[in-house]
Amino acid sequence: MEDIKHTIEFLETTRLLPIGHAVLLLIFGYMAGRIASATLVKFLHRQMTEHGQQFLKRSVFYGIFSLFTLSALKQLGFDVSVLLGAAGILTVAVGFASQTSVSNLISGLFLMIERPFSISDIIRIGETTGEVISIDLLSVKLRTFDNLFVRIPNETMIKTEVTTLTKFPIRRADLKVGVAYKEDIERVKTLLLDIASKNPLCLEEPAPLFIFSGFGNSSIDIQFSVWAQRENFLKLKNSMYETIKTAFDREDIEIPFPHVSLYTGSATQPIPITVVSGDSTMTGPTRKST
Amino acid sequence: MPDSKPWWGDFSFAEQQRRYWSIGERKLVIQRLSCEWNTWNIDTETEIRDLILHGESSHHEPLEDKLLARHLQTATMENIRVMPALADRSVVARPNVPLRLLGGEKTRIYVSTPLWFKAQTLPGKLCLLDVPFWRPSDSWFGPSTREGEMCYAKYTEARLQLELLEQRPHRAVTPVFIHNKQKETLLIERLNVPVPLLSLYQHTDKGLWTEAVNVTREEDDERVELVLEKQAPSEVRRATLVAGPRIASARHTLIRSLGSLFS
Repeated sequence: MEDIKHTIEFLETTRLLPIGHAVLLLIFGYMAGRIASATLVKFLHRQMTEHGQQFLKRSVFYGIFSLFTLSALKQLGFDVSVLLGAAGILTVAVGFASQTSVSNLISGLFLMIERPFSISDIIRIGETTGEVISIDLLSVKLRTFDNLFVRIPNETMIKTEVTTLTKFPIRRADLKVGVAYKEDIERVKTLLLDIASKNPLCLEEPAPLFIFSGFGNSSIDIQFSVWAQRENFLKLKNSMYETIKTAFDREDIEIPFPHVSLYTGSATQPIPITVVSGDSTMTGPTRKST
Repeated sequence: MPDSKPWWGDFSFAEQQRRYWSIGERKLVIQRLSCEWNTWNIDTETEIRDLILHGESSHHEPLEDKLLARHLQTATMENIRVMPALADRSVVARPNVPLRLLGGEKTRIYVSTPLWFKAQTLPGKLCLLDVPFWRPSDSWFGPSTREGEMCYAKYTEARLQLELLEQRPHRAVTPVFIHNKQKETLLIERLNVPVPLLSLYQHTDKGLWTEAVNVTREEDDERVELVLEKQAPSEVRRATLVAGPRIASARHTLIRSLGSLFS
């Protein structure tokens, strides 16, 4: 009996009881947050995108956990209203100290609200192109096509140009084709349109576009633009280039490449070339061929 | 060129037996082994207008490099069901010249669309093959490159007179009845036929048809009402049902935006 009395007195003096209570609340809050967010997402995952699921999961978890944390602080005897006020001052102090992190955090919130892309979209930022694997409060994580993990700070995402390659269902492939000056452009045009119409991945509508780009250094430059379903974009681009090369070879349409003519400085006569014996010109150590 | 002899139905296969379905050089082959079905798809670049033939295929025929798939089963059963099917997306047809349907007028357009070859195991109805005889080109149908739907184009025809529509065994005919109740002229450059919602009917002399599609452009509404008939069209009233729609729907009346059907 005396022991129990002593234990209670000890707990009261050392405040272990409210501390234990607060710890229990935190553990319970953590578990409740996890379970509630996971259950909600499990029920709603069919109606939501992966991006939405992640956003909902985090909001529910942090919401519940914050409530339990506040409750735990109250158990410890803290006045929550004073704490909130202190938190405001603290935020300013921390904000100045960690400007970059806060900027990333706010940018992350803007990204979540604006949603220029979602998880599993393919995006391009500067030189990097990859699949979005997560959009977090501080950064966006990408998986590039050569299977590298790239972390891009949210601040960068907000400041720079981001191209979402998978936003719309169809895409246009601009094929650059050069033909020799002697070729009949009408014939080339007909051939290109025929190639496009025979390729089942090339959309009939919007119709392929033939643009005469200009007179290049070595060739007549043409842009042939064809449309494809987003998923077939690369397949179409590859197959079109392959077919164009085969068709041009078959039809004897020349695809020129830059030619370099060498002239001597003072005259336009050809540069003299003299074939000499290998042995007689060698001045260094001789090598024996085997 | 209607095909009076159906190439579809239930077919029995002994073990190691091969059967083929062909239109000229275009050939689909199915072989039964004890624990697997093998399918071959021998394609041609251009459409051939011959009849669809079927029969037993020789084992000596070199097909291996064209093997499409091996479908594994614990033990294969004797029968498979082969049937024709319509495309798995809407199909866009283009009249040879753009049509202008005057205000308050009606017209009937016959559209021919490509057929798919479907093979399923029996029992169980597990899909072995679902391929077009000739794959039509992809196309986009919608008011902009942001809004619209993926469709098929090519190997289609749209004619006002049925006699002008060349009937081919690997295509089906859909009559589209259009009623423009508005005063403004309706321009029809391209017509989007929602074939996944349609059934296939066979007429002994006239080949494969689908039910008629009635499109009404209401007087004071920019949307159009699309009514799918519940029976074979009047041109082939005695035709029998061969295959149901890919997308089964209890509703036969649909409301669509004008831009989703005509352009």
